[in-house]
Amino acid sequence: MEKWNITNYEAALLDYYEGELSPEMVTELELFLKNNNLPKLQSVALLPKLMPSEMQLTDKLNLKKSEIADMNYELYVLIAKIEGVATELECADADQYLLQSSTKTMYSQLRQTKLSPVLALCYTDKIKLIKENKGVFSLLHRFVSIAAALVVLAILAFLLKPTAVKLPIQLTTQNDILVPANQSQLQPLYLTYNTLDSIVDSELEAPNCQIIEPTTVNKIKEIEEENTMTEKLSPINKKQQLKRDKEQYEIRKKIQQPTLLQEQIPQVASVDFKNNSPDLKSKYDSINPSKPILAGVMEVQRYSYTNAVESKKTKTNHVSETNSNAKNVSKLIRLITNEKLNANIGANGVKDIKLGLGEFELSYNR
Amino acid sequence: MTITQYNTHVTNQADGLYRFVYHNINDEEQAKDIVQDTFERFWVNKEKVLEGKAKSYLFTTAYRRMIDVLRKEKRIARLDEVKVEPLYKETTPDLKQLLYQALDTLPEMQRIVVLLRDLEGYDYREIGTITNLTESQVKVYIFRARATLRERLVSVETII
Repeated sequence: MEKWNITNYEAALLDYYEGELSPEMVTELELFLKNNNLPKLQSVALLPKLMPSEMQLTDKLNLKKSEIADMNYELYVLIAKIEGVATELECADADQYLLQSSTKTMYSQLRQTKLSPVLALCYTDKIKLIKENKGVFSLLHRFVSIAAALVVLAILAFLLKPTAVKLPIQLTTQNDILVPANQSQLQPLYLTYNTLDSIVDSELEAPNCQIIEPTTVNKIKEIEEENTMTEKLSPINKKQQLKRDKEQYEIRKKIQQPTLLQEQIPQVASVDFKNNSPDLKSKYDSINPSKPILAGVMEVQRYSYTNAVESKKTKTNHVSETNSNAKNVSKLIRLITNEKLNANIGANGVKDIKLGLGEFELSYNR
Repeated sequence: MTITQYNTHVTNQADGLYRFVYHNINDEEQAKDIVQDTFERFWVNKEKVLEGKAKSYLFTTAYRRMIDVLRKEKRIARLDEVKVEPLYKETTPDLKQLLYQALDTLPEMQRIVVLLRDLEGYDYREIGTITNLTESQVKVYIFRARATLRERLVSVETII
């Protein structure tokens, strides 16, 4: 059966024209055309062929869309080119855009948006961030330095240690300090208050009392001890505390001025019984003719000294907690007796005095 | 990380870090504080930070600290109202000065990514790591920032 007939041979001719027929099919087609008295196949080959057009769409780029919404493709590809992230196609498109002078200007402006560092801006505190290399040698060096510093400090402390200078204390009293007859001057001074039981709660006045201790260091120590004991035994209010602190400050200021201390020598301690009540005086005289209580008066002097230095004001203080002053009293008595009586008060003596004085309520002026 | 390596990072990165922070917050003292804080954290975490990731760690830490400061003080809103005097003063405003002034007007994130891109040369992926953005987001921010900067420069040039 033949492939082609009068109705379909034209399709075969078009295939031949397009060059899509195989050589065998071309032979068969030629035979069919010859048998049916049709035009030869060569005549078909002479038909005119249409050539492809070279015409192009010039604004093709305008149809392209940018990856970034609201940004036109031209700007997009230019920025991409500057950023170095454009694809080959985008680079080609950018180059096409750059053929226009307006695009060239835009491209130049976009290139200017590249920031360059402001070298004037520097982090000036860099040195603070640098960490030291703490090696073994560094640590050793540090320890050695600290040890050396401590040694130097110890030497300085030793060299500058204040030496206690014992200054003579001159006591001027209207009444001599007397030692009971049975008390040896070389033995610790035991002041017996047994005979004074009857004057418990009585008053003794010792105005114008002043004693200045010989050394400043001991003085400061004593003041501190005195205050500590006073605080422990009888809590004071804030106002008193402030006043006392102020007084202490003044005392310390004066104490720490050697010239001033020198000027105050000789120190004076005086006891004046003139203002004491006659009853008390007589009671005192009758009870103890040898007046060992004078040591107690000295205690009052000692106590009054503390406050007398810094203030000339006359004020009467009532010391009910004599136990708190016992230590100072004992020190004072020791001081006085050392100077005047050449006697010592040992631990037992102090204890006795404490007990004895604890029974008194003393008042004094300053 | 050794002390020497740490100190090398201080020497090499402190200035860049300071510029990056300063251009974002326009406050010299605060910028210094943030840099100091960043390096302190870096020192504390020196064992955890890989040597190759040190710069990225520094900028990430500084960025987060800076964002805290910016958000806290609502500096973004104020920047629109207050004109900040730049540290570098010249007799006539040059292009660089104008550009940094224009930079101040950019939205926060655009400014940050542009600074990281231009001053530190980070690629989009690295910027994304620092700022916790995707690469495409970084790209969009940078492209928009460039377009805006160009507009600002063109408008200034027109005025001049």
